[in-house]
Amino acid sequence: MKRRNFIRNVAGVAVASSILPLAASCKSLDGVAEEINKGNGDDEQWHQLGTGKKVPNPNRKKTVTYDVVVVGAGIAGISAAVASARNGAKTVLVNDRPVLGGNASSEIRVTLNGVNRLSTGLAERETGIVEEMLLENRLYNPQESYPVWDHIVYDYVVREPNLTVMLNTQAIGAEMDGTKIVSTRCWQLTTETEFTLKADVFIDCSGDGLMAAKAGALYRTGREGKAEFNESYAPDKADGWQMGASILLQGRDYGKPMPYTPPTFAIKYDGDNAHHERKINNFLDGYWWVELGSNHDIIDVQEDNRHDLMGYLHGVWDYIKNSGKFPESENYALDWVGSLPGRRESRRFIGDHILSETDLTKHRHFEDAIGYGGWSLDEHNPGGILDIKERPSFFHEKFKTVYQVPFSSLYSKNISNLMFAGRNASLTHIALSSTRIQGTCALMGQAVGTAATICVNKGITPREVKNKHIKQLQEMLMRDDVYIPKVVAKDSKDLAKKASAIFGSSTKSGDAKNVINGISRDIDGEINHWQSESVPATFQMEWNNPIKLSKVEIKCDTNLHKNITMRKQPLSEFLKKSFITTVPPELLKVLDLEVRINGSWVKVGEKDRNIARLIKFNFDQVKTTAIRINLKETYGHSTVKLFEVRAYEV
Amino acid sequence: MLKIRNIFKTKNKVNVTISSVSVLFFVLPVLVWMLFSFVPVTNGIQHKVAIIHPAIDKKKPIECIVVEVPADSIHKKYFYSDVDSVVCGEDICEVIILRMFWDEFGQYQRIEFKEGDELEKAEGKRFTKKDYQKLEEILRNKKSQLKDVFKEELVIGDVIEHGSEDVDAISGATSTVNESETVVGAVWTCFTLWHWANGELVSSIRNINAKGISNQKMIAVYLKSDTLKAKEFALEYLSKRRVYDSITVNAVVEELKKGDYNLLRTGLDYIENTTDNTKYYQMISRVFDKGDYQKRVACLNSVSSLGREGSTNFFTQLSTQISTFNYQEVEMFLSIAQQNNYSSSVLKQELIQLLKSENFLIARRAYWFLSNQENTKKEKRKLKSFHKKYKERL
Repeated sequence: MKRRNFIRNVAGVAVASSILPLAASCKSLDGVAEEINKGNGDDEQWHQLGTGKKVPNPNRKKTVTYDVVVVGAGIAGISAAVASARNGAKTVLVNDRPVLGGNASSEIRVTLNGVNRLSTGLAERETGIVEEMLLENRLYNPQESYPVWDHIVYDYVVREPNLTVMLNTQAIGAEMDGTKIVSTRCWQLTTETEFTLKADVFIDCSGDGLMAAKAGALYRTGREGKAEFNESYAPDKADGWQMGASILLQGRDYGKPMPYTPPTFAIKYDGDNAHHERKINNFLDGYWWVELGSNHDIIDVQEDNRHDLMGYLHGVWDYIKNSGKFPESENYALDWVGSLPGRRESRRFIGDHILSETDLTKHRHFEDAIGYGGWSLDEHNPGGILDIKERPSFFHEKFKTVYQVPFSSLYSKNISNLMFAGRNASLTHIALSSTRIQGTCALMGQAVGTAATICVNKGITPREVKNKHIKQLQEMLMRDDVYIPKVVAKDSKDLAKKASAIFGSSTKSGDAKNVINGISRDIDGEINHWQSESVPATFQMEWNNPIKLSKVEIKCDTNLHKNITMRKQPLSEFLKKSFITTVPPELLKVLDLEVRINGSWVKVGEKDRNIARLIKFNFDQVKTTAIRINLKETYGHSTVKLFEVRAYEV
Repeated sequence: MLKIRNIFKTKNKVNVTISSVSVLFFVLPVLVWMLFSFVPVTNGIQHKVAIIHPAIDKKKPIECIVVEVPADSIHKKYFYSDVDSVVCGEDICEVIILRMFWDEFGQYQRIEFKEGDELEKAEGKRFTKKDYQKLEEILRNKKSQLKDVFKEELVIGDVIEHGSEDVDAISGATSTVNESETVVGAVWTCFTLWHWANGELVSSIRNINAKGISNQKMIAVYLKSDTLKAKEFALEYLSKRRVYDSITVNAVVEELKKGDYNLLRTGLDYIENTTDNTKYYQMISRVFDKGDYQKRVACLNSVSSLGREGSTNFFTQLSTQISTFNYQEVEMFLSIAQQNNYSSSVLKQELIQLLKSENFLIARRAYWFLSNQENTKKEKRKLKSFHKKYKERL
């Protein structure tokens, strides 16, 4: 069988020719994409003046084998790749842009929201990998610079020893063996190199999901009709509408009059006749409702939409600056304008379960829950900026508490080793209107990255993980600080649960034994913490019989009911209720860990500038009868809270 | 003369004219007793105080008048002030003047209205009996969410929760505070009154009250009172005044011995505020002696965290009691002893006994402490025997 026969997608010609303009030729004689990088020159095409030699134009090709390939480095993809690498799988993260972060990157600058505000008024912030990134950003980027955020994310990813990052690289094909993806073919724009990445497990977090589509994974686009999933907010009949993409801007006050002349491609904005919710109430950050979708194939029209969106955005700014309606904008000028639309919706791949409206609104319990969401059902209006008399989004319903997201919505129904996370997961259009928020996507990503390691270690498919090993997946996720609603951690290897005595030096609220109750946040009105009366404080565990110990893991407080995500404008008094712009004062900053060996305390680890909610101490294995955590300093709070303490032999 | 009536006894309907034209919004001088008083102040003492009220200004103090009414044969001492019912943020509120009462500790008691006045909700509707009952619950809840919000964030409108990404629109009156924390449709009123009832006026009233009370009276009447709030009041001001004569110290200790953990939390501030090390350890020892688990741990934690120079008497006394300790107490006490390089024959004798404790954690902790001491031959034999028996568990 010829190799090209493995390439599923017959649209390869169009894709290859339009996406890869730098390749001299990418067509075989029969027109099927076969080799990306093959040229037409002869053996002396390249005259190297430095060496004096004439050599062929290089045909750069590399084949690399990994355990797990993650395509797309938005927040979902990053979470997937880091989770996979940390749990032991040799992982590659492939991103078609020069920076990481996707919609949250400096290229697009969508606020990294999550469960920002339930109907109770409180946030229920996602923990795990996304929390780690946001905390580091608060410490290392107090200036709230988006380009600096890019590098914080970059640092966060590249320092993982098991993880390779490929930027400016797009996965454009999939080679198959039956229903299994064998490899993905990628083009690295900057090095003119064709990569073949082989792996056991493939994860598509790219949003549009080109690789998954090329593999033949089933997907749908558009809006389901009401009846299919009994969705009250769905249209009566199915249609093709996909929520649009937006281009954002940032303005700045220059302290002097700043005239503005729109570019020739600006499209006039009729703000006088726009719906009142298309509000222009600041000149620092805008405007998510400058949005264009599609009734059919949104990917096909992305470039046209990009051009138009840039025009509409300048049109809105022109309206602000030159309509005379906003004289207070006189000193403002554009400081940054996006050129890359942030996308909300395109392909949604089909998994064993399609998450739908009532799963969310009825808080359906899933045995295979792996995370949660809680953003309102926030469906943007059909037409976007083309329909300005309509409100820009319908906030169908807010949630009082978080809903579960199941693992069976995160792997392909028909491609055996393919998973997905983010907006391209197995969701209805209405469910997507809530789950598309990046914090929720991050939890999906961490789940599939972790599941991938189970697949690799056991040589099984994601579906088998769901059917036979879902408890293991849940336990791994919870250990790594993912909260799964209504699921209690019961890791049998956790020696903390076998401690004979647990106590703190003082107790202001909660109970010292809460740290082993398997729920690592206060939620649903239940306290699951121990809180000291003051700082410094100590926390101690004792065992009747000596244990072997090499790891202690602590989950401390970062005030999950406030948002720490970076925003593009100062917090209003209203938003200060639910947002903070610093490292959470509750977070432990300085602490150390001692173990008791032969009756004496021996220090085995210390942190003098901790910036994580999940604090890990790894040390050479010791035989001990007790641990003592010395909680010395927070980032400002006068007490300290612990939600969980775990102890492991290995 | 205007009549004062209890709001909960009011049944009669009174017409209240709702006029947005007459609305006073962001009115600064909220205390309007000078303009209009419910009853002539005959036996009251007027006090001028400066406080912050977040409904008015979160930084700039306002001047208020609080009236102190001394106790008589019928009533205990109390305070009152005449306040605006609401400092409205939306220009749509009817403002009435009401009288708010506190006890001598600054604890909110009740509100009263002049005849015919009623509180109102949104759209000019009057408070119902249930609304008044709920308001009463709100005002008595010192931990209300209303404590931590400012007027700017009190209400939001038709919350366009920033589409998918950002931006909030504010155009109406949906409370950001839980419904259980407010009377629906009267969030501004609840906010304003809660901060009158539980805000800075409380500490002003306590200070005024304390000013007229001698140390002797503070002990005889307040510290020895039956109520927690009176005892805490006494402890707070005895500590602020640094009263550490033997009579006072003795009285405080006796109360802390009898009292529960909550009283001890305030009491520890008094104990720790003394600069006299001897007195500190005497007080801690005596309180510890009769304390329950929570109180004993709090005492040990105080000693451990303050890191004051150790007291032999303290260590000796606790050494004799160690057989009654639970494991955490044993651990904390021996850790403090080790930090202070303390050891004694009394302690060692007790610990030798504890080697036989049914609680193995205690026995092992005693063993480890003793292992680091200079021991007699007999003690060494005991330790060796323990080691032999439990070497797998050490």
